[in-house]
Amino acid sequence: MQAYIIRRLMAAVVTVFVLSLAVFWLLRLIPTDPAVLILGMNATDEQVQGLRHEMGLDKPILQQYLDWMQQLLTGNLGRSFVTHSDVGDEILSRLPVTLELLALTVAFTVLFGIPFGIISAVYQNSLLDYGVRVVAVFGLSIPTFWLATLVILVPAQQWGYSPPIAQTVGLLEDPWDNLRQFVPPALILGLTAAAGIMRLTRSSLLEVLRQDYIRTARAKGLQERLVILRHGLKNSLVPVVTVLGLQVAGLLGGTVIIESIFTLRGLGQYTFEALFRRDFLVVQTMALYIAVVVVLMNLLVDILYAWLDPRIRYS
Amino acid sequence: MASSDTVLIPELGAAAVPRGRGRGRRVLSLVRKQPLGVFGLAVILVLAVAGLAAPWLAPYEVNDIGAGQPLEGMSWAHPFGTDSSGRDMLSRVIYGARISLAVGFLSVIGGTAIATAIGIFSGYVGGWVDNVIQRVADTLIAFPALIFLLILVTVLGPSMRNVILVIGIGIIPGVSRVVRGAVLSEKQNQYVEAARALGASTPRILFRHLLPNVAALAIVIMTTLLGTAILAEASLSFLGLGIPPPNPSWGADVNAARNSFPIHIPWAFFPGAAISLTVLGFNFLGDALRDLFDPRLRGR
Repeated sequence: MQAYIIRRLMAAVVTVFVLSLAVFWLLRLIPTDPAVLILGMNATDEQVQGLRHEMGLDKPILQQYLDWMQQLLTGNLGRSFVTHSDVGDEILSRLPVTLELLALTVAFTVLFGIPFGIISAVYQNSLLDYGVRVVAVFGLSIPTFWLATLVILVPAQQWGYSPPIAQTVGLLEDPWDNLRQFVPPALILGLTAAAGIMRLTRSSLLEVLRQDYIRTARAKGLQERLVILRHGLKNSLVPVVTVLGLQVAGLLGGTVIIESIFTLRGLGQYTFEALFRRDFLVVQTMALYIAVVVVLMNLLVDILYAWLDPRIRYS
Repeated sequence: MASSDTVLIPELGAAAVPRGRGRGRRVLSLVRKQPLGVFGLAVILVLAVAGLAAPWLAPYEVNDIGAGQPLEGMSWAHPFGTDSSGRDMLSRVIYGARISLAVGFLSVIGGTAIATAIGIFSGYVGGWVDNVIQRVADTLIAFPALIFLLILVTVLGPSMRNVILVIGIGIIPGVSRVVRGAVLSEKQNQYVEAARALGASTPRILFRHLLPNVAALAIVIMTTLLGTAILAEASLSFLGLGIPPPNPSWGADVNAARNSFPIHIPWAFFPGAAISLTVLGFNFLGDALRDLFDPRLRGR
């Protein structure tokens, strides 16, 4: 197991390295010159060249990348040339927002996805099963941004209600205002994820319930409830956990949209605005950050996998 | 693992279907077995017709700013209301079907074709080539798709062609992974061995023997991907990095409605409802096709 984890960690380093290099290189293919964008149209050639030199944009791309890596290894994430704020500070101040959003989203996903998946499988082909499945397909089909837009516009027009905007409220500062800000986006983001988890729980549980050991458990007179909860569910959750882990990657993409719509000062909004402003340093740092998170999540999932299902042995 | 009611050998199963049955009855039995799939197909057909016949169906020109007063509500003259420049929303939604379906089909067909070629090649050749391709795919799958698309489209610039290109590229890693898996299991079959024993060349085995056998899988994946691709286009356009205005992209129209004041709900509602319905159609159809093509999943 240890050897396996070490090997996986080494592969993870390669993945992260390749990804960050790819994003770094892609950003420098963007036709607009960030120096011109910062200085404005009226800047002289000299000023532009000066800023390009300061930003290191006049060096070869590989050299720029190595310089950046060297800077990162000293623990300094650098200062944005566009907003003049420290990237490390920004990430630290925005991390709690995105973490709370993701935590609530995953909670909703599990809370709705797994129980409804079980109900749907246990009452297979009943009206209830069909109802839950149709709702799940709706959940997968409705665009997050549209639902979020309606959730903001309709109450605002009908009752003049809007969640606290402009400033993100901390959970400990004012729990009520904080939840008013975070629960709607988390529910919307969780809808798609829960629909996927529900479908997977259902099909996975149905698969397990056809196994011989389930028949044995029933034959020895075990209560149906125990057969499903103790024998069936535990085994059927293995793929569910995997997908839940992988979904976090997708949710990170979802935060870009949802944080922008609900004006939450999180990492998704930070990434999107940076991309819009051609703030290379921020985008490449966030891409690296996301790659690290996703790769670590995948590793965690695989380890959890072996723990949930002792038949799985890595060597 | 075939359940008791399915025939073990698929060829026999197909032959066992009574041939004398009328077409009408066959359609009826399909409706009874896969009502949601048939509903999905119907939705898609209606949208396709709407998109193709948009110039004749739409009551107004897409960008006719004199179609009505700004921000009109729902009425007989403008069933979906108007936007802030007085453009008829029903017409824009009808024309929008063109953009959504064109982006969906072109990106998915292009992406799947390349992905299938890569997947078959990677799975059949194996060895270090397979390893390198799979590691690259790993890397791309790990990264959040939306952020990847946003970066790519920022590099290329927002336009219809680039949106199709970018979504097509985004599809490749995941699909090639699935196709490769299918090829790996198909490769074990005796017909491949038989073909090789008869002296068939590698390209012949790949395209004449393996491709038809993974085609069913590819069709199922493509159907679901069409929904995903349409959602991706809508999301990119909503974020202002997709189809540029004044084109009637559903996603871009929702964004325009969101940013305008005073709030006008119909303007935001109908384009989004059109996206939902389209994606719903593809998802229902995809589920039904999977049930039909994959006997193992039947009755589940």
